[in-house]
Amino acid sequence: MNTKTIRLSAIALSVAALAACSGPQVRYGDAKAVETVNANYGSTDLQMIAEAMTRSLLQSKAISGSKDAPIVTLADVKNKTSEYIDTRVITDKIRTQLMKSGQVRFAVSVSEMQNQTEELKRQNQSGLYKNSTIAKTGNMQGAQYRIEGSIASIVKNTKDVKDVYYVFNLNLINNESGLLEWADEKEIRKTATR
Amino acid sequence: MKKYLAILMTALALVACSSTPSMKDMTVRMGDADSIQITDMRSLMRNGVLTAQVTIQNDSKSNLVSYRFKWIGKNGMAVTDEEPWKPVTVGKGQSTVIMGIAPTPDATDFRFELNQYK
Repeated sequence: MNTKTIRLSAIALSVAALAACSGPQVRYGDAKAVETVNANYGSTDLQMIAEAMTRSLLQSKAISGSKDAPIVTLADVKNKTSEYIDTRVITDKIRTQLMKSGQVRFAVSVSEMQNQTEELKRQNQSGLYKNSTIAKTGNMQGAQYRIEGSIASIVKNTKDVKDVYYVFNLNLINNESGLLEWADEKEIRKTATR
Repeated sequence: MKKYLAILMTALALVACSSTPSMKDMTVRMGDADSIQITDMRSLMRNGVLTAQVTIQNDSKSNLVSYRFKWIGKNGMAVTDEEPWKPVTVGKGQSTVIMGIAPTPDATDFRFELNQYK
């Protein structure tokens, strides 16, 4: 092996090592842009569902017609699709948007109750806090309404086409009377072709 | 003659002041959205919330249209963050009606933003 061959091999190895070290190119994208990577449930679906439900709910008589901002709590949104969908993210997004509107107040939901009771216990039972600053027990406010719903899908596949249809359903139920005060749905169809 | 001219000028000035923005002024086009026509645009307050209705017609080959509303309150300030772009499928030569509801009762005016996505 002559000197020239050794030098060339060294250069080739260096180039290969550099190529292996350089990672993927990273760029920030627009979080509000339409996402069409594949036909699975995605960010645009989440945003569209949350927006449609919030706006429709804000316009309902139960919310817009009440004098004070009604107290609402989040109940379950059941995922009846074959995909994994974190339905909590949808309801949280709806809650955030409703809170921002200033038309609704939210009571802690079932999933947040553990933290709420633990905090009250800590303040009231530990004996560590000044009496005048303690959050008293027995003053929590019950929600007038609860929000619950479901998401379902129909998926059809052929060799070249995948068609997905989502329907998201949301209901506002009066906790005292058990009456359905408002309901709306959002449909989404996505088709992926090869 | 001068009197009539003065009246005419005043009337013209008044018309100019009281005119509402046109559909063209209320539409913001982004990207390659020139071939999408706005054929109708109206709004009203429903249960205390501004509701807008826009009819669009697609004259382009691509049917990948996306839109969003910008809700404006006092002093021309946007009432919330930007909305996500929402895709809508409109075939060539077809038209569709798009409804938008303001996110808060503070919104008094809106702009309609159009785009195409890939």
